[in-house]
Amino acid sequence: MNGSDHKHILLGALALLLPATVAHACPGVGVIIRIDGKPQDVVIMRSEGGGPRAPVARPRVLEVLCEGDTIRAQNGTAVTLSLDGAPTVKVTGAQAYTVGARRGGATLASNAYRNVSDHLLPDMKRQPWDVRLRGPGRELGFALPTLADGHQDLTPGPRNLLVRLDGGVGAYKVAIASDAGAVLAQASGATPEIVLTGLNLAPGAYVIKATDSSGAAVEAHVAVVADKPPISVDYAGMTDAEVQAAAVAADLARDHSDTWSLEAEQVLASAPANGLDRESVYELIESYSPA
Amino acid sequence: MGGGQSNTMSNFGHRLGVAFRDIAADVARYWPRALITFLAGAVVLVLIRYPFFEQSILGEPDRDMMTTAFRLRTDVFIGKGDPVLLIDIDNATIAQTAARTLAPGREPSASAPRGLIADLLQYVLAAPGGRGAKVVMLDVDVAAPTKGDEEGEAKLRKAFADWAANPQAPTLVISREAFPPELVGGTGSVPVLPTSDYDDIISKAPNIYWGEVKALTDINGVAQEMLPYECVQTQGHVEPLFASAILAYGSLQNGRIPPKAPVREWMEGASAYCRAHPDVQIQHGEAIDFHLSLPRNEAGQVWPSLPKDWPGYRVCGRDTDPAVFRHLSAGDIQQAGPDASHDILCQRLVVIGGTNWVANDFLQSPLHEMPGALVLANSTRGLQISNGGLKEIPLIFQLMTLAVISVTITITFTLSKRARRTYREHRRAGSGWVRELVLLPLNPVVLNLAVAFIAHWLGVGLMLVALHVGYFGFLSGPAVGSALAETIQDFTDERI
Repeated sequence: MNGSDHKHILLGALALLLPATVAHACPGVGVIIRIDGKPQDVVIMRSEGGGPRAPVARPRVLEVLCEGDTIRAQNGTAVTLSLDGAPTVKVTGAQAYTVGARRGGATLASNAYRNVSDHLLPDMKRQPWDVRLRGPGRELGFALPTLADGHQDLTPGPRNLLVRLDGGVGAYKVAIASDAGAVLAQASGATPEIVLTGLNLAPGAYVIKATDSSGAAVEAHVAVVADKPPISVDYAGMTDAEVQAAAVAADLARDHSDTWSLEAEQVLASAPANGLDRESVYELIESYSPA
Repeated sequence: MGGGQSNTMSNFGHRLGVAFRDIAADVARYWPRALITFLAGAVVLVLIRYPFFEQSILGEPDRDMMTTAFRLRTDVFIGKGDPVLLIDIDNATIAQTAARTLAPGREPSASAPRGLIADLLQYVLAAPGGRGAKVVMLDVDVAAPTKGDEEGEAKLRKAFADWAANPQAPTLVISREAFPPELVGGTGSVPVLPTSDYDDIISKAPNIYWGEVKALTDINGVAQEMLPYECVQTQGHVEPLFASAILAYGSLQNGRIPPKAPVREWMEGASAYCRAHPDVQIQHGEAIDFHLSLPRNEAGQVWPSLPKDWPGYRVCGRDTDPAVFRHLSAGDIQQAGPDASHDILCQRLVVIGGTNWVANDFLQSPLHEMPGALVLANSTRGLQISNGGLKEIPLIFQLMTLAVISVTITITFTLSKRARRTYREHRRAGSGWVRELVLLPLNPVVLNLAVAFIAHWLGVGLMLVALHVGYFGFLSGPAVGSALAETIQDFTDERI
């Protein structure tokens, strides 16, 4: 260890205290991971260095997105975004999506708090005060990513409806309303699994809205249709009703993730409990994305 | 009244003087005791530097100290290294492939589809000149058989051939695994690197290398070190198969490895070691400098931005992706098509690996259960930010720090002893339990715990600074040793 090493250690101590990031003309916060349709129908408006907004020439898949970008997809094209600290976002239709700032990064304080709390209270759930100390986590979203796309279907009639959420801060509140805005049912709970009970849905359009205790809200449009989901009969011979429901649900979500994943979760949710690790099956259903 | 005040001041001054003289006498009387306290810690420090003791219970406090330091700085202090792009063969990628190739309900193969790997390599290869990846690590053992995937294998052969023929292509390091000779029909006791379907291309390629990716664990099964090289039999002779991380680091640095870097010692000594001890695997390798996290099932995580002086900005521009780590699904990249942007590759260390549950390539790390591909990224980038590997702070500096701690311990115990004695003299009449309660903070065992706790966290703070410049040291274990020695002496004194 020589004089240079001493200098390095001193500089290292100082560097721990100072931020060393750069101000970017366009702070990157994610990438476009998919364009369904024509790339020329994707319009990204960007302000570089605080200047006026201008369209990004020729947006492409895997293009880096910047904070403040406004994205619009035209003529039936859909664009899927992977953003830092947020669930996957799909932009369709005329409504524009504005890319927010990166949030939820670790800090020395949040790491220290996490380190202590993981040792002392490893099973502690994320309460609001915990989130304030630990730093923000993932944004509130639906656990089923395709639900936010607005193409999920449900069958009509009397039923309960399981809505699984992801991220956010408990407690959660979920409501379902008709397209006209009439609330049909609502429920709340500390865990991100909320069941709306006593529904009797007629064919038509509905909106599911979820909120958390921090005030974040997400909503999804679903359709109740007269069509029956294409449920496979391959599993009819299974003796355990819960395992059979899990197989049917996974099969349905796998082949029709764009429309019947939510219904697939209901198939499993309505089966009698017999010790199956349902969480893993739900996660499997939620992992399927449209081909 | 004035005379009374003068008397009070005089009394106070007199008492203070007596106290100082007593303490000085105590220190003079206790210096042999302070020396023993220091020597006890020093013995622990000297022993703990040897892996045999470091891996034992003696090393537990310092391993915990190092783990705490890693956890505190994870995703916060990222050092001066290149950004990492993980192209992740994740569950979604496997599900996409399975949906095309398997009947519903069938378990996907644990081997990554060769056609997928070929597409990913072609995507990397298609980056514009100068704006492509710096180094690519393929954490897939391509020598593993993939029966029925002849089309994929042909695509992969072509991708390797294109890579080898392209002088602009970045260095590609491919993970391999050596097996016991009896498993692959070999002889002797040196592990055998099996032949692969791509040997003819890769053996001639100037920019493709095989590397091993073995991690060494501590007594708790936590991956702490990488195996720097493994002696393997290949094509009839024994040679070192270097760690992928070391090869990638060398390439990232364009071969400019600091003269005193631990990595250089491993590289220079490997051939001689394999000649002398070809069948003896190295027990203690190169410490992995963990600083990036990616827990299983984590989505939506945010990693910090690169430091402003990252040299890549000169090539990639100020508008390039600033994240030090980005994580994209291989399936998304495969489907992106030929028109996709290549900016996310610019001057990156690209790791192609899997977090899928079929291959289940996860290891327990000091941070959390971590995908093997991210252990690889931490190993490689960790070598960059520590200038070629973590180095131990010279013993003399560690002894000096310990001396300060051990003298503090002796003074604390001396003062607490005086306090206990004074209290007992003045509160003889007090009830037993009140007296014990008041004396509890001055109890040698409680003091010992407090000193160990403070030394541990002081050590964590010092370790954070040291890691930032590529060094590590020991303090927690030696401090516990000193505190124990002081406690024992304290009890002995009480009895005398």
